[in-house]
Amino acid sequence: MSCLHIENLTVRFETRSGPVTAVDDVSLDHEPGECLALVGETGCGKSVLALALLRLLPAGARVQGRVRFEGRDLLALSEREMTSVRGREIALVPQNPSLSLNPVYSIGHQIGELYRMHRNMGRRPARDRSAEQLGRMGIQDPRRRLRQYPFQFSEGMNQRALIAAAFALSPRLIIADEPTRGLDETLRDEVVRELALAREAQGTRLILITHDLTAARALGDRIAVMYAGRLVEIAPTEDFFRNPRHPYSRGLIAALPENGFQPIPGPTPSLIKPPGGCRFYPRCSMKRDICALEEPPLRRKQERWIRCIREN
Amino acid sequence: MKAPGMAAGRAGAALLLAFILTAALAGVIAPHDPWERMDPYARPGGDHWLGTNDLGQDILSELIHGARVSLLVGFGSALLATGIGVLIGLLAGYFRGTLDEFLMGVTDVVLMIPRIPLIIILAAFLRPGFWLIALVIGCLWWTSTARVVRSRTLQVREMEFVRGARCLGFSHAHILASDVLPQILPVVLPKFMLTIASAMISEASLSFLGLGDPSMKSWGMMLNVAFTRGGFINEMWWWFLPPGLCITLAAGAVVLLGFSLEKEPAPDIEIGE
Repeated sequence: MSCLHIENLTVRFETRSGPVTAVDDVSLDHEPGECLALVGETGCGKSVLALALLRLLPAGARVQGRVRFEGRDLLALSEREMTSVRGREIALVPQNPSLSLNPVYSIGHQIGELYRMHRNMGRRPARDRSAEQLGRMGIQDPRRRLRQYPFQFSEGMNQRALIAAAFALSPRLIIADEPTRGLDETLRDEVVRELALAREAQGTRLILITHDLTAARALGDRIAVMYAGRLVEIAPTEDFFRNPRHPYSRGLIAALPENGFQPIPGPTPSLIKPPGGCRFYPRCSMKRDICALEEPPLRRKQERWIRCIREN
Repeated sequence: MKAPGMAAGRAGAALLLAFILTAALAGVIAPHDPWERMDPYARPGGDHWLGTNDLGQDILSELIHGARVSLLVGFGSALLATGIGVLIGLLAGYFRGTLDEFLMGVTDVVLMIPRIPLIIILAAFLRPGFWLIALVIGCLWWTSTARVVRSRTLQVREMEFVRGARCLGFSHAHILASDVLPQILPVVLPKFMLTIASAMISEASLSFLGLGDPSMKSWGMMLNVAFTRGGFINEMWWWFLPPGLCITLAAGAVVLLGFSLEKEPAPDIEIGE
C-alpha cells in the first residue's frame, strides 16, 4: 500500500539573527486514501514542511529526518529522481496561484506542457486532455479558456487551473498549499467542492495545508495542528471540532466567526528563540508552572495525539 | 519618451535594412567587380562615382562588397558572443553557489584581458583571417552580456512560476529553456545589437591596423589601403571618407535599434477570444 511517513523531520535556516527552526522534529503518517488537513497560523512551518517533502527549499535550508514514500526516502533521492517524483507521484499546488503561473504562456500551454513533457503526447491530444481537466474543475467553456492567459483569469480560476495541472498526471498524492487563500466564501466553497470531486474521481490522496478551518473541516479526514514548528495535536476531524483537546486547538476553534471571534491572546513566538518548555505556554489560558520548564511529548490517546501536560 | 525612441529605432532599422540589402545584393548592385583593375587614382565622376584607388579598382564597388564582410563579422561574432554570454549568465544566475562563483570568476578574468592587444598578438602568430577575427571577437565580447543575463536570471529564478513549474515536476533544463529564457530575451536583444556595433568597429580598427584579412575587402581594410597608399596625404576624400562614413552609419544604425528595443514595452500578447 502506498504511504507517506514523515519521521523526525527538522528544517533549519541560517539567518543573520541566528538559526530558525521552521519545522521541529515532526513525525506524521499519512494513511492510504485519507485527506489530512495541516492547520496552524501563518508562519508556523506548514508550507516549509510541504516544500521540504518535495525538496523545493532554497539551498540554505538544512533538512534532517526521513520522508518515506512508497518504500523510498525522498530526502535521499538524487535531484533527477526527485524531478520524476514531482508532478507524477506527488504534486504540489503552490500558494499564490496568479503568480505561480507563467504570465507569458496561455493556460492551455501550461497544463498541456505536462502531458507533452511527461506523457509524450502530441499537441492536439494534450489540448483535449487539458480541456477535460479544466472542465472538471468547473470552468465553463474550457476550450476557449485554454487560449487565455493567467492575467485574463480571476484568482479563483487560476487556482483551479493550478489544481487541474496538479491532478493532470494523476499523482498518488497532492499537497495543496493554502488553496483557499484570498478567495471569497463562494469561491472557497467551489474550490473545496472541486478538490473533493477530483479527489474522489481519481482516488488521489490529499494533504491540505491551510489556516482556513472551514476548508479543513470540509475536506479533511484528520486534522493536524502545528504551532511554532511543532505538531501539537492530531485528531479525526469530527472529534477535533467537537472536542479540541490542546489549548491551542481550543483557541483556534474559539476564534472562528461562528464561535464569536475570540482571539488567542499574545503574539506568535519567534522561531529563532522559541520559549523554553511548552511553546504555547506564554499564551496558554490553562498553563501550570511546570509548562514553562519542560515540553510535554506528543502522546497518543486512542485515535488522537496531543502534546499537553494536562493529558497525563 | 516613447515617440522619439520609436522614431530613432525606426530610422536605425531602416538604415540597417538598407545595409543588409546592399550586402546581400552586392553582386547585382555594384557597377564593377571590386577586384577589376582600371585607371588608377581616378577622380569621382562618370563611370566611377567614387573614383578608383591606386590599383584602379572602383571604390563604390569595393564599398558595396565591403558591407558584406563588415556585417558578416559583426553579426557572426555578436551571435557567438551573445550565445556564450547567455549560456554562462543563465547557468550562473540559475544555479548560483559554486558554479556561479566559478563562472563569474572566469568572466572577470576574460573581462580583464586587454582585447585589441591580444588580437594583435594572435594576428602576429596566426595568419590573420576573416573567420579568426570573428571567432576571437566572439570569444572575448561576451562578458557584459553574461553579467546582465546573470543579474536578470537572479530575479527571474525567484519568481513564483519557476517554483510552480518545479512543483509540477519540470526539470531544471526545461525550466531554463521555457520559463527563464523568454524572460531574459528583452535584456539580451539590445545587448546583442550593441555587441554587433562593437564587433564591427573592432573589425574595422583591426583591419585599419593591418591585422585584417587582406583577401577580403572590408571597410576597415579600405581605410588601411587608403592610409598606406597615399589616399590621406593626397587628400583623396572620396577614397577614405566613404568607408569611414559607412562604418559610422552602420554601427550607429545598430545602436539606435538596440536602444529602441531596450525602451520598448513588453510586446502585445495575442489574446485568444
